[in-house]
This record gives sequence, structure tokens and C-alpha cells, in this order.
Amino acid sequence: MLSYRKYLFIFLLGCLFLPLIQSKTQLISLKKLSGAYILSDDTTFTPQGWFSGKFQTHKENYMRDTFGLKNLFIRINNQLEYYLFKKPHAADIIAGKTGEFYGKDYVSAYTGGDYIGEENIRKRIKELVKIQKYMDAHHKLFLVVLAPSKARFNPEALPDEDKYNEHNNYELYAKLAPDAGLNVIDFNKYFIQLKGASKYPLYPKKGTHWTYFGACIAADSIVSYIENKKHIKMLHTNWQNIIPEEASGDELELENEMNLLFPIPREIVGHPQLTYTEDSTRIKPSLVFIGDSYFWGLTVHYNFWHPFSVIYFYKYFTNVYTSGSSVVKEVNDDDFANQIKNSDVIILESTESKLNNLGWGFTAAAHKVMENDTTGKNPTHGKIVAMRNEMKQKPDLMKMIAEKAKKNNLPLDSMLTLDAIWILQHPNN
Amino acid sequence: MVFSSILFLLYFLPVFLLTYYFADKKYKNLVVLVFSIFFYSWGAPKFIFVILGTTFLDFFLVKWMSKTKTRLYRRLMLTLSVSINLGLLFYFKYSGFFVENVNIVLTHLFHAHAMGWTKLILPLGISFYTFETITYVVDVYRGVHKPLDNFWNYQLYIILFPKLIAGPIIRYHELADQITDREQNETIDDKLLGFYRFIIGLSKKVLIANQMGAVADGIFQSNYSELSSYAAWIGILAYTFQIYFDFSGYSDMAIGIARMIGFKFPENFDNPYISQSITEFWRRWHMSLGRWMKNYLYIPLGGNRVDSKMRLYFNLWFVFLVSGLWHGASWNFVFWGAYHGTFLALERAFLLKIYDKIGKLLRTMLTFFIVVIGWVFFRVEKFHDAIHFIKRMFAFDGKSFKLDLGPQFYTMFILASFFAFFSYLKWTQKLQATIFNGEYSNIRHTIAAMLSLILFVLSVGNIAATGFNPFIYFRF
Repeated sequence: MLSYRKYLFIFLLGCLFLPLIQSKTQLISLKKLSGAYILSDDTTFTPQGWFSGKFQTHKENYMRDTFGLKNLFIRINNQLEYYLFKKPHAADIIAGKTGEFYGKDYVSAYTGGDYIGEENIRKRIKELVKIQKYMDAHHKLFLVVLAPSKARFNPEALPDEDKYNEHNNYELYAKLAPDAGLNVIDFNKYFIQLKGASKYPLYPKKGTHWTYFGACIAADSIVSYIENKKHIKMLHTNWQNIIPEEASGDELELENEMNLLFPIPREIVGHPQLTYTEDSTRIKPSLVFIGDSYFWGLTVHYNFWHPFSVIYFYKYFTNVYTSGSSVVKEVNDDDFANQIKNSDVIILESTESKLNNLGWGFTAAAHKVMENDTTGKNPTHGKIVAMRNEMKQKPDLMKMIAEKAKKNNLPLDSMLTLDAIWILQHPNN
Repeated sequence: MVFSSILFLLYFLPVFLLTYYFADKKYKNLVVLVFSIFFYSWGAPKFIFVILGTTFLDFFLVKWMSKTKTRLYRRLMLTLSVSINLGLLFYFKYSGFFVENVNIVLTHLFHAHAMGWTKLILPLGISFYTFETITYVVDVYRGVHKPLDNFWNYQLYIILFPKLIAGPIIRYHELADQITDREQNETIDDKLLGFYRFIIGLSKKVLIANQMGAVADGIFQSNYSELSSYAAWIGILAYTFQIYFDFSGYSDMAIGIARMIGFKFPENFDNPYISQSITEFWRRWHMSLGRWMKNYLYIPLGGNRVDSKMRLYFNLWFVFLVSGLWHGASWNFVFWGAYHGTFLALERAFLLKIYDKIGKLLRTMLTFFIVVIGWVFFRVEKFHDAIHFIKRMFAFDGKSFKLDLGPQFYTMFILASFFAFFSYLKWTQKLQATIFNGEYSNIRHTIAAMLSLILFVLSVGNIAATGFNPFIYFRF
């Protein structure tokens, strides 16, 4: 008969085997880990791979990434680190002094870690002013939205070592952009003004973006701003009710990224209940929105798609999301040019931590659109001659021009030149 | 494959233990041998053939040597075997260093062209493996123990995976009998105590050494000119604890695994930081290397039985110079060895007499201070950088340096200090001896098993969560 000590050793050995058994059987269903991470792929054995050591490296990485009960082990570790040391175990989260979490990049921006210098900012603003002037000339509204930053909104809870630095991108943009005549909505400033007065939190303690409430306030403000600037009436949401309840969803995104075993006590936030009343007399402008992830708060919580006829959302000017379509496209110069030409409003949005690279390529692309736009410009003599020659090759067209010349009492050659100029000035017609 | 990797902890070790326990007695050595070959091949798939080849040669040279009565032949075989093994070590570990220094002389003194040399990859554990092969031939030559009859048993002695790549360095006669018969060591208490010891080592490595190492690395990789004295001290103290808990943790794991399969490995560390002199420090730090150096270098040099005190001091100093070089093919290791050797010689000459007058606490503090300064030379590769670092330690010029140290580091730092000096008092020494080697009742076993499981979960969780898991001593 086995002694107690033998049972104890068998038990310990059995515990060593549990992860191996779990990896082969998936007996226990474990919650997936949140956050961005890349899992290593499995590899197949080859003698070359073995002798070069590559097989071993890949296999070991694969086993490290996929071993049984890994999620549980990680959650236990993270829970303990958080419980004992208030340390969030995630690459890009900073724990504040009073239970808040901050995205590292927001803190870096607030403390001037990504400052690009006044000269650069002035240059970029100048480029944006050019874009705005072009849009004004084409009766389009160009608007720069400075989304708020939690670090700036709530700096008092930042760790002591993360100190404010007056040399930062946001403050310079916020000062120089309106001075240069740019249309700007500064939600940092607006939120800070509302901070004491707002009944519900504008920022969640455990999230990095605005609360649902904050997002809805911002979305409503953007719609009102467009109405005022374009002198139109747009659809607005009806604020039915604001339900005070525990923070949820992306209001907890940083907590989720920490992959804890147990949830942290939740704060009470306001969740607006909004509805739309359709009104055909209201105008639904078309919108091109170039921005960062703050856009999702506008759409998910406010249904930002609704007051616009169409929205093209250029996320970091890399992927394009279109309202009413589930297809995500990559940025394409021709599509972009067409969408700009057909839009009523163009919004360039960025939060503080992304201001070091504001536009992500939008500015250059917009300038290209402007350069290629020949509308209203006098074509060169060479282009006119080339177009005349091209038109002469089309007998039907020449017949129409001859009739038009007769009707207008002009020589055929003059009519041909005038039509060539018109075509060159209106390439899309 | 390191002991603190997921592959080893959750795949290799359980499968190995299960196979070993289920194997018939006559196949147990075969199981250990096959798993050891696999273990080594995993990290050094090509060099395994060099090990197999040289051990084959060694085995038959030693066998031949043991049979012959002619002193000349015996010496010839001994020289041949030692030369093959040291030659291998020199080729892989020191040839680059040698050529580099010869080139400096050639180019600077003689304005000649530098010799070409392809940098070699240092095979895993070559320093440990070479020293063990030498003990085999020397022990047999000296008649300390008869050679093994079976090549595969010799192979097992050399390649036994728990101690293969980071020690302890086990002298042949310490292990020889256990290879052929270790039944008396395979009690259930041995298995349980081995398991606890393994987990203690794993926790030392993962929960303490890695935390210290992350901070030490950050500081040692910074620009020394910008370091504050506080940061420099934090850096070197973190490294002081890292190297101890890392290396002694690995030794604990090796001793633990070995004990679970019936092998009793000699201890490698005995609370070195409580030493009251450098002489004592070297009786407590990397004890298996110290014993090797004493038996296979210091005594052949004449040991204590020399004509003059100057020769004695030279012998001591020389042994430590070689010991430093053993740690790495770089001048900083040579200097570190010479630094310790100098203190050892000075202690023999007069320092110990002074120490007797200053009291235990001051002696311990002074020794710890000397050791800590020594670690700077060990950690920093270039001599002038090491001096620069030491200057920053003592600058106290109010310079500020951003240290991102949270409560986790300070907690682990306090824990590291506590465990490093745990056995400073007599009653704590007794307590430690009871934990490691005392009699265990069922209740004590239950408590130890549960604590081990908790530490195991914490360690695996930490490994999975951080991914930062290098072993310092694998460089040597």
C-alpha cells in the first residue's frame, strides 16, 4: 500500500502534468487574454532546422505561447502584481495614484516625450491652412478636432515621476492653429472646462478613451459646430435618459488589457440613451473623417453615422471604413480624391498622443488632390493644342462642335478651342 | 533548454520523471542518458557529436591508462587526455581572445598585419564539461577511484543533464558510485525533498534574480556619466543579488532534480554573502569550482607546502587568475580573478589578523563591500568603464538619474537581502539546515508541498508573463 508521502509525490507530479494535459485536451475552458500579442507559429521538424537550431527556437517559442493553462498562470501573476504592487502588467499602461490607469503614450505626450518642436508644428499648421483655404473655395468645411487626452484631463493622479512639460505638441497646436485661422474644436480645453461641472465622468478610470457620456457630448458638439459653420440644420440625437451604472465595455479597456483574474471595483458612469427622430427637412452632409480610435466612441455610443449621408473614416489614413459597408479598404489616391471632391465636411481628428504625426499622410494626399485639381485653372497652350487634336479625331464630337459654332456665330476653330479649354477645366464632367 | 523555461518545466521534466519512475531499474541509466543527450542536443545539436567523440576517446585513453603499470605511459595518457580536453576548451573559448590580443601586439608594436579569425560559438557548458572530464582522468591517474567499466556510464557522468550546463562541477569520485548504484538514495523522502529544492531554486531564479537582473541591466546599459551615485549603487547591489540568486538558484534546481532521481550532488553555495573574509567567501561561493581549483590546480602547484610565503601568495593569486579566466575569455574576468586572489593573499599575509580585531559585523560588511566592488569588474567588460562606474558609485554629487523602480523592485530587493543574509545568525543557520536536510514529518511534508506548489505557480506565471528569462552563468 502506498504511503501518504508517495501519494503526496504523485500529487505533485500530477500537478506538473496538468498544463501538458490541458494543452492536449483543452479540458478547462479559459477566458482569452486581451491586448495585442503575437503568438508563435508551430514548426515542422527537418534535419536542417534541427542542426541550425531554428527548429528548437521556434518550437520552444510555440510551446511558451501555447502551453496549457497559460492564460490562468498569466492572470494569477498579473492579479498578484496588481494586488501587491498596484502594477499593471501590460506594456503600455501606467498606474495613476488614485486608481486610474493611463496609456503610456498619452503620458509621454503630456510630459513632452514626443515633442516635435515649434518649427515643425508651424510648418504643419501652414499646410493645413492651405488645405482649409482650398476647401473653403470649394464650399467644403475643413475642421481640425483635438480629441482630449486623459493625462491632460486628469494630471493630478499621474505618478510623481511623470511631470508636466511645457514643451509639448498639444499646447502649441491648440495655440497656433486657431491663431492661423484654422477651424479647431479643442476637446481637451472643453473637457477640462466641464471637469468639475459634469454630472457624469467624461473619462473612465480604467479606460483610455472618453466615456460613453464624454463621446456623446463630443459628437453633439461636432454636429453643432458643422451646423453653425455651414448654416444648415442637421439631425441631432434626443437625449432620452442618462443611466448611472457601472463602467463597461471600452470604458474598461485598460483593465481588460491587464488580464487580471478578478475585476477591479467599478466606478459609476453615465450611459446616455439616445434616439434619432428622422426629419427630411434636415440636411445630412457627407463626411470624410481622418482620425484615430476616438472616432469609434463617436460612432458606437452616439451613432455618428446617422446625421451624415455618408462617412468615409480614414483610420490613421491607412484603412478606410465606409458607413453602411463592412468592407475595409486600404487608402487609394483616386478614391480619396473623389471622396474629398464629393464631401461637404472634412474632419482631421487626433488625440494628444498622435499629434506628433498629425494626419498620418493626409496632408500630403490632400495637397496632391489640390495640385491635380484643374477646375477653374487656365490650361497651358500645349495642353489646349493636344486636346484640340484629340477632339478632331472624333467625328461625332466635331459635328456637335460645328453645330454649336454655327449657333453661337463663331468660327469652328474658335469653338473648338473654347470646348477644349472647358474639357480641360472640368476633367470629371 | 534552461530549467526555468516552459519547455523544460512543463514538458521535458514531467515526461522525464514519469519515464524514469516507470522504467525498470536496469533501464534507469539509459533513460537518464537518452534524456540528457536530447537535453544537450536541443541547445547544441552539432556540438553533441564533439562531446560524444571526445568522451569516447577519453574513456578508452583512461581505460588504457588504468591498465598499464608503466609510469611513462600513464603520464602520457594523462597528458594526452588533459591536452585534448583543455585544447577543446581553448579552441572554443579562448582562441578568439588569444588572437585578439596577439593582433594588438602585432599591429601596435610591430605594425604587422592582424591575423584573421572567425568568431566561434561557445558550446553550452563547455567549461563545466571540460573540468569534469579532467577530474575523471586525474582521479583515475591518482588512484582515487577506479575507472568506469561501461562507456555509456562514463557518458552519463559527463552528460548528466541536471549539472551539464551550469554545474555544480562534480568530481568523478563524488559521483562514480552513484552511477552504478543509487538505490539507497531513491527514497520517497529524497524525491520530495528534491522536488522542494528544485522549486526553491526555480523561485530564486525567477522571482528574485530576474527581477534584480532587469533593473541591473537597465542601469549597466545606461550612460555612466549620467548615473547618480544612488543609481550606481542600486545597479551593482541588484547585480550582486542577481548573480547569487541566479547561480545558486540554478544549483538548487540541479541538486533538486538529481535528488529526485537518486543522485546526491555536492552543495555549490553556502550563504556566501555572510562571509567574514574573502577566504571564507570562496569556501561558500561556487564551492564546486573552488574544490576543483584546489585539487587540480592549487595542490599540483605546491599548495601550502611551498618553500616561501611569496610562492604561496603567488600560487593563491595564480589560481584565482585562472579562476577568473575560467569565467570568461575577457580581461575583466582576469582582473576580477586577480582582484580576489590579491585579497586572498593579503588575508594570508596580515589582513585576517586585523579582521580578528574589528568584530563579526564589520568583517562581514567589509567582505561584502569587497565582493560588491569585485562584481563591477565582473559585470562591466571594459576596465575603464568599470572604473568609471565605481567613480559614479562614490561621486555623491547630487546628480539625478531617472530610475523606474516600483514597489515590486524594492520588495524583492528587501527579500533578496533577507534571504542572502538569512543564515547570519546561528538559529537561522539551524533553520536553514532543517529545511534543506532535516527530518520531515507528514505535516511538514504537506506544508512544504503546498508551499512548493504555490511557488511553482508563481514562477510559471512570472515566466509566462514576462518572457525575460536569461541565465547569466550560461556564458561561462
